[in-house]
Amino acid sequence: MKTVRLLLLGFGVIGRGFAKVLIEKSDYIKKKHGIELKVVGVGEYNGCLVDEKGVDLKAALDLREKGKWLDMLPQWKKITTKEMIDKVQADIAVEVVPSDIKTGEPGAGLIEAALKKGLHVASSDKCAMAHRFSELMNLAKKQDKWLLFESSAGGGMPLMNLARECIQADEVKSMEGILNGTTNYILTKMSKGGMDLETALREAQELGYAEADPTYDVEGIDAAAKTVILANDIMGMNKKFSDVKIMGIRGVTKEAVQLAKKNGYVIKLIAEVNSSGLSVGPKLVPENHPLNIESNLNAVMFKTDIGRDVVIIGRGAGGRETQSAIFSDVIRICRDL
Amino acid sequence: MEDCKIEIKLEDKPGALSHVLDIIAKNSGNLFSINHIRERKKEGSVPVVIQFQATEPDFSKIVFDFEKHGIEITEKRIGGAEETQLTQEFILIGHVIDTDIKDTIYSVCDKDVMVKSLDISLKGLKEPSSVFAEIGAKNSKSLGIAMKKLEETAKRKNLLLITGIQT
Repeated sequence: MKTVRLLLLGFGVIGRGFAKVLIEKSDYIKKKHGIELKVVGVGEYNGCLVDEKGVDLKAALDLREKGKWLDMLPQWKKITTKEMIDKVQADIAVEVVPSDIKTGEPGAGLIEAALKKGLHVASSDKCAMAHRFSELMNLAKKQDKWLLFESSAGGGMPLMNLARECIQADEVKSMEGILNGTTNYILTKMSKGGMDLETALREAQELGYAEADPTYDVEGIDAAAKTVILANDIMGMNKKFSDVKIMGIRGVTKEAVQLAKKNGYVIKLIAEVNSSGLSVGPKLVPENHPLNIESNLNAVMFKTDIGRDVVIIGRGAGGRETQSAIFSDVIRICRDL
Repeated sequence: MEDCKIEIKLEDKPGALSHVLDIIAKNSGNLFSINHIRERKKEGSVPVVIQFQATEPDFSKIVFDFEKHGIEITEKRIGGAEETQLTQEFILIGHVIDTDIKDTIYSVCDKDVMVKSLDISLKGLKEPSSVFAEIGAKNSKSLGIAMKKLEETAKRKNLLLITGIQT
C-alpha cells in the first residue's frame, strides 16, 4: 500500500466535497489502486489545519456544517496557506480555492508556491489556469512535477484526460461546446418552459444551479475561462483570457428563443475554438444536434482528423460531480510516485 | 437583370393579384407572364406562377415584401436555376424595426446573396423585437462576406446577432 500525503488548499464547496468523497471512497481507492490518500494539511483563508498523521476531516466537516470555524480544532495553526505549503511535508497539493476571475489569485500564487516547493498539483481553479496557463505549465515542466486541472473546465467530464490518454494520434482540429450549466438551464427553461430569462434565472438560483450574483455565468465569463484552458491544453494554443471574444445571454429574449424553436433550432451559449480564434456566445443549434442537451448539463464536441466527431456529455459543476475529475488527477499523479 | 420565377399561393379574391403585381412593379420588376393554376385551387387559394426580370437585390426586396404582406411563396428561382446552394440562418434581437429592418437585411444582399425567408416576432413598441432569417448564397466566399457585413450592421445598430453553430 502506497501512502500519499495531500495538502488540501481550500475548504469551500469544492474542498469540503473533496473531503466528503475521500471519507466515502477511501477504502475503495485503497482496494482498487493500492493507494492510501492522507490529508496532512487543510488551508483556509485565516489559518490551517495541520497534522502529519492525517487531519480529522470528519471533525472539520462537522464543524463547518454547524457554521463554526475550524479554529476550534486542536490541529488548527495560525499560519497562511503558503506557510503551510512551505513547512508541511507532502506529495500533492489539491488546489481548490475560489480565485478571482480578473487576476487568477490567490490560486495561481498557491499553485506556483506548491510547484516551487516540489509538490505535484491537482487544481480545480479555472481562474488561475486561464490567467497563467503557460507560466504555470512551464514551471511544472521545469520542476518535473505534474500540474493537472481536469476539473477546471467541464467539471465531471473527462475532457483533458480524454485528449491526453485516449485520442493519442488524432489532432483536435476544433472544439465547440456548452461549458456553463447555469446558462444551459436558463436557455432550456426559456425554450421548453416558455419562460423569460429573469424567471428562468430565479428558478436556477432557487435550485442552487446559479449563484446569488450570476454575472460570471450569464455574461459568458465562466465559459470563457474554461475555453482558454481547453484551447491551450488540448489544442496546444497559447491563449489568454483576453483573447476570447465573449457575448453573454443577457440580450436573449423569450421571443427569440421561441422563434428559433419554431424554425427547428435551440439557442445555446456555445464556446468555440477553431482557426478563427476563441469565442463564447449564444448560437443557433439544430434541434437534432448532439450539443442540444438539456437542463444544467455540459457537452463538448471535439472534431479530430482521424476519429472525426467525439462528443462528451456530463455534469459541468457541482461539489460532488467535480470530485470525479479531481480524484482522477490525484490518482493519476499517485501512479508516478 | 436576371430571369426570375416566383410561385405563390394567392387568395382567390378580387384585388389580390393586383396587390402582388404592385409589389413587383414598385421594386422595378419587369413582368413577363402570370399563370393561374386553377386546377390546383385548394382551401380558397390558387397557385400562381409569376415570371419577371429583376436585379438580384430587387428580387430579394420583392421576396421580402411578399412575405411582409403575408403572401406565401412556395417556390422562387432566379437566373433560371435554384438561386442558392449555401444557406445561413440567424436571429437578430433588439430594436430591429426602429433601426430600419429593410436596410439591415438588404445590407447583406448582392448578386450572389439573397434573403430566403424572414420570421418576425414583435412585442411592445418599446420592447426589443426578434427576427429569424435565412439567407442563401451561391458560394462560401459570398456567404462569408455577407455574414461579415451583417455582423458590422448589427454592431452599428446595437442589435444582438445570433448565428448558427459551425456544424
